[in-house]
Amino acid sequence: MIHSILWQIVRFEWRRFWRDKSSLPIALGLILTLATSLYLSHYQFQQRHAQQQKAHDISQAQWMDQPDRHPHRVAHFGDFAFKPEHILAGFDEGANAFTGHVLFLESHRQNSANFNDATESTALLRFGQFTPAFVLQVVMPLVLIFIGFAVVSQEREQGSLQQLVATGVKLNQFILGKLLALAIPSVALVFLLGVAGFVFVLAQTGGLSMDIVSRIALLILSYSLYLFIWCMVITAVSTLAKHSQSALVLLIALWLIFCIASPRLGHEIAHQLYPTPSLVQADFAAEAALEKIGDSHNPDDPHFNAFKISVLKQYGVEKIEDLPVNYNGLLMQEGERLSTQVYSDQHEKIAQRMLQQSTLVSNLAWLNPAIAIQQFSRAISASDLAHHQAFLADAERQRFKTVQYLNGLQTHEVQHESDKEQRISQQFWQKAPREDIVLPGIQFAKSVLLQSIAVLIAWLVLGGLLFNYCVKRSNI
Amino acid sequence: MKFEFKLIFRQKLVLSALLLSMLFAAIALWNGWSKIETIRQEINAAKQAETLRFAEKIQHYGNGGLAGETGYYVFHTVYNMPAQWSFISLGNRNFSPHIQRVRLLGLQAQLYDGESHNPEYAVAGNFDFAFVVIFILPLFCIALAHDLCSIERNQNRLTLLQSLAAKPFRFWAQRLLAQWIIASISIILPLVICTAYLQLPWLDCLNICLVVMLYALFWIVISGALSFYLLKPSTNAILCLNIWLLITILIPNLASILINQATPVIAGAEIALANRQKTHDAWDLPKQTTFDAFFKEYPEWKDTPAVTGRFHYKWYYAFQHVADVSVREAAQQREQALLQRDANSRALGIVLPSVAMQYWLDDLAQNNLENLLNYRQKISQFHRQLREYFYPYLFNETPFNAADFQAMPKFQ
Repeated sequence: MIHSILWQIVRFEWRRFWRDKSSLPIALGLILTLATSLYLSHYQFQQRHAQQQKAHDISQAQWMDQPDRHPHRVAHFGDFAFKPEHILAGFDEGANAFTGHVLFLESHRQNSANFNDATESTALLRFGQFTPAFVLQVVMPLVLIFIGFAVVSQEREQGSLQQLVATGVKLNQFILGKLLALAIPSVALVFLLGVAGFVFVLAQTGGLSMDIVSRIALLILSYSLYLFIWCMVITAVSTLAKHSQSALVLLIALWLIFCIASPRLGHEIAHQLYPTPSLVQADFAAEAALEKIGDSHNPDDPHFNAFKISVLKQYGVEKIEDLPVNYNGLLMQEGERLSTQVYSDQHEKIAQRMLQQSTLVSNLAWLNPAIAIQQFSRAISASDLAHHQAFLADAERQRFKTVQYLNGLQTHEVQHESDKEQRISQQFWQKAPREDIVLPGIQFAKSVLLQSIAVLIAWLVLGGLLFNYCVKRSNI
Repeated sequence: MKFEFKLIFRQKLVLSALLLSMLFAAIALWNGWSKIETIRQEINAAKQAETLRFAEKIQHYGNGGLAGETGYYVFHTVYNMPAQWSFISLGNRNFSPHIQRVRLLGLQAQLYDGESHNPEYAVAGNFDFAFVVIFILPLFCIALAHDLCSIERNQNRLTLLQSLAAKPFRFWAQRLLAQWIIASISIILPLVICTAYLQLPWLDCLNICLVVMLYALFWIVISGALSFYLLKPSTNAILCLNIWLLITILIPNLASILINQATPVIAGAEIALANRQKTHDAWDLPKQTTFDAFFKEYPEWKDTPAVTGRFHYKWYYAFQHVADVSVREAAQQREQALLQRDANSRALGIVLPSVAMQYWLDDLAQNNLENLLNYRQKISQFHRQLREYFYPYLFNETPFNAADFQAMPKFQ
């Protein structure tokens, strides 16, 4: 009986929305916006993917077609690493538009991932990214505000609230009904999108992996929570406000602060507290450190002399010329090991700094569910900083492996005498241990996901308390 | 008129919005300034570090050795120094490298190097003066003017007011004027204080103020005018917010994607791949092939002796340059396409005040695509100077001495 009254309130609210003149444009506008963003975002993803694939294929062909060469020649020819993207990056592009997608791997140096779209973009980029994730995170709450700001306050203004209470409807039940009337369609929309996502992936790849199922399911859960929090806030403010107009103004102000201003401000604060050092500074420091270690070309260098003695001792010979292997190759391996360490140390500092920045922002998410959903959505879509840094780290490992393989070839396949004049078979490059870099599994993002979902649940509880408080405080 | 101001200030909500808006503008100015200051300091530190190491370098490389070796090992710092007003619109400054290093090797492999920004920061966007003007100021204008007429109608004062005012148009205009002045001041006041404090040129400040006021006027007039047609103030507020959403977020975004579709740009990676292939092919080609290509650009070195050995630096740097030349056209086409996109986006400013405003501020701040391409142009010019400085040493096999090291071209 009680439930049926609640259900009637919900249904009544929907009927009213249906009859309202402005409902159709709002609903159509939202659906159109969402559909456009889905189409464009996926289209862009596909284009980026095709571009990457093309460059990857060229790179692969160039590598395989190399003629007989000296292995160190090949180490300078270098290889390219391509950043992998998850299909969900077509839903939430996240940081991917602002990261380099191609990294040149060569010996002696650690390059930056270049060619991000943002550096060379037009000023229109300052207006944000038009992705389905953006529509759900930012536009959707605004639409909910438009629909719901007067949901209770209007009843009070028109005096219908008194009449209803007089007929025996409990106030809290009434307001709960209003909340559900707002929340059920929002959550349904998220579910619908999720189902569409499943169908889409199925059509694209011909199957559903555990990975994609869990990712989409988590997206449905998190966005439902997020929108439900907004519905609670909207209903609560509408209950508390004296006039519909002041409810609207307050809600718009909250939206502005939560969705527009504070994500920007959060990152600015993080950057003010932990400024990112420039790559050039890091390289300066690395070079200075390398010079301290030694110079492999200098015959009197203490470090490399000690290395030479240890190698001679290991093989039990007197002179470099008597070694069964090519000493130059060993020297290259040692040099690469040292320079890699030094560069990695410096680049690690930058990576750590960026993690500090992002950690600060994710802690700010406790104050702002909009930041929490952003973090969650990007982590699920593998388009956040952590995934980018994982790519950089994988690429660096790949670089080191390939270069040391080539230095090993120089050690074992090239004679020491007139080293530079020799070439070895191209079959050696074709057998080189090169693998494409792949995305880590969903486990990788576990801590971010757990934290963000904890924030959303905390806000849900807080919202519930606020809601309860508003219902109790509101007078007819 | 005085009465109008009194009326506005009596509304508590408006007063707090005014203060919030001023606070946002002040934070944005401070934040932008400190960001730009950090960049300036970094550039100066890099320049200083280079100067400090000069003596050491000159000792190492300036003792009559091979010029080719100096060219290979000595890096030159190049930098993109911010302009005077760069802090009002950070634009692409935060995610394009402002310090890079180049050496005598092929330029294409170096030109795009050195990215190190937090991509998540770039996604969030900057909290700069441009952001406050373009996104926040309109909201403040809407808050002020959306109930211009409708609130009077709602409270049944409209007919009375209309009949009392001798000239109704003047009455409404005066009210709008008061709102316009207040909205503008919320942004202008922090800017004027900032200009005075930092001793920046007043003429530029005046220009910014005028443009900002024009932008505010657009929003005040739109939201005020609509209030005559709509019955409820809240309906008008929603309508105005939808216009805001369309003008400041949805249309620019949509247009950006469409413009990028209309003008495809070759992937930078493809050029990099072609350049690498060309560079390394040279090792397996007859040296004369490389020289033939090189002498087309630099015939003055045609008569120097041919290279017969396995390696010579003049051949090495010749093929580096030949590889650059081989992708020059593709790189230029790419730049042209980028500029075409930019021109199309700029044209959107004719209809969208938000886009016009962003472009105007980016131009003044010099944090736009044009600036980036100009900077790359400057690097290319410097690289060319450097090459042409080194060619006599390479082709005439002149030893490289301290004086020669000293006289190397410097960036800017």
